Amino acid sequence: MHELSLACSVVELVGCEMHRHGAGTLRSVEVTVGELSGVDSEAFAFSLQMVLDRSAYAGARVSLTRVTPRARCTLCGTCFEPTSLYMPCPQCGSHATRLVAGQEFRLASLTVETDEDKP
Amino acid sequence: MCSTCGCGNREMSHEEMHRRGLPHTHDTAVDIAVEQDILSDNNRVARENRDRWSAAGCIAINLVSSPGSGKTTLLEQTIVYLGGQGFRRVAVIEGDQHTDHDAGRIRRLGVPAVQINTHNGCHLDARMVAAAADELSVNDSLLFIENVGNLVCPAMFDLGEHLRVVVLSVTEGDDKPLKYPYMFAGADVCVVNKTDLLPYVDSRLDRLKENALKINPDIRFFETSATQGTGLDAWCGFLCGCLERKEAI
Repeated sequence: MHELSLACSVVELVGCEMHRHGAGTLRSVEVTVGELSGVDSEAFAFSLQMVLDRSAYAGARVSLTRVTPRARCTLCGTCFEPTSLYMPCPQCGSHATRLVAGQEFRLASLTVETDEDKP
Repeated sequence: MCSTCGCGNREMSHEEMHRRGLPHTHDTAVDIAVEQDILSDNNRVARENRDRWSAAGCIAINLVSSPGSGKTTLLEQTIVYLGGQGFRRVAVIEGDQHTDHDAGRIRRLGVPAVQINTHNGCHLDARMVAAAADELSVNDSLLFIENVGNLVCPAMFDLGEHLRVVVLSVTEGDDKPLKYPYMFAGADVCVVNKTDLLPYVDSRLDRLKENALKINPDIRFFETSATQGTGLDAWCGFLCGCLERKEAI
């Protein structure tokens, strides 16, 4: 269950970004998760929401974007969408494949309500 | 609704509300692009560890496996074998949720060991290991980091090691690599341990290797029985070769 410690890392990163931008009220946290990143996206979203709710950013929502894995066969060059880390190339059957997408795990962006123009 | 800010006041302009100091809301949400790897802090500390150890002429080995694969026994027998060859420049960092049993086993062999207890944590991270390594002298040494017994979480965390070694005992089943693919995808070496028990279990070495190679075609195998002392010559020869060349593979 490393998703909770990953969620804590995200909230630390969020704190740095909010401080750096002198931003106002955090509305949502957008995270990109590849489906073969090793992160359980549901457990992670649950953990992140829980940590946010207990932080200075209570009320902010979690928004996940899942990335479908893509791989390229290093022998025949076929591009395909693998369903596991060990799926062979559908064209030539080789396991010598390289993931080109699906391992992302990034804090993509923050949506912030600014305090400018407050009367 | 006010067309400027959606404040609900149909009669008054947004500017007029500001001029009069009346309370109203804004729709002034902005997106801040970050696009930062969530593990970037761990990865940065891991790079610092690796640079420091490389500069000290040290090769760091991250030993990962499920609980009970024989990591600590393999480590003990590796230390004894290397000592028999006159090689004693070994340091150990032990990771467990609780107890310092494993560090005690290593210290009884005369090798310096630091125990990390992760308590509720399921893996070691680069920062924990950096603090533990500060207590050890690692110049021209083999530094073994025995991770928490867990085939899932430690896969995501670079500690700064030069070599990631997954230990898999034959009693766990030859389909283990397919069940826990992330660990095998990130490993440089797979040590198949408890090979003396092969006659008593259904696991087959060829199937086990075939499954691991499906995930990681570059993974390199060693076969050992730590309790019987078999296979240690090839394994220890490989480790000493890495240290002499100052590179992992």
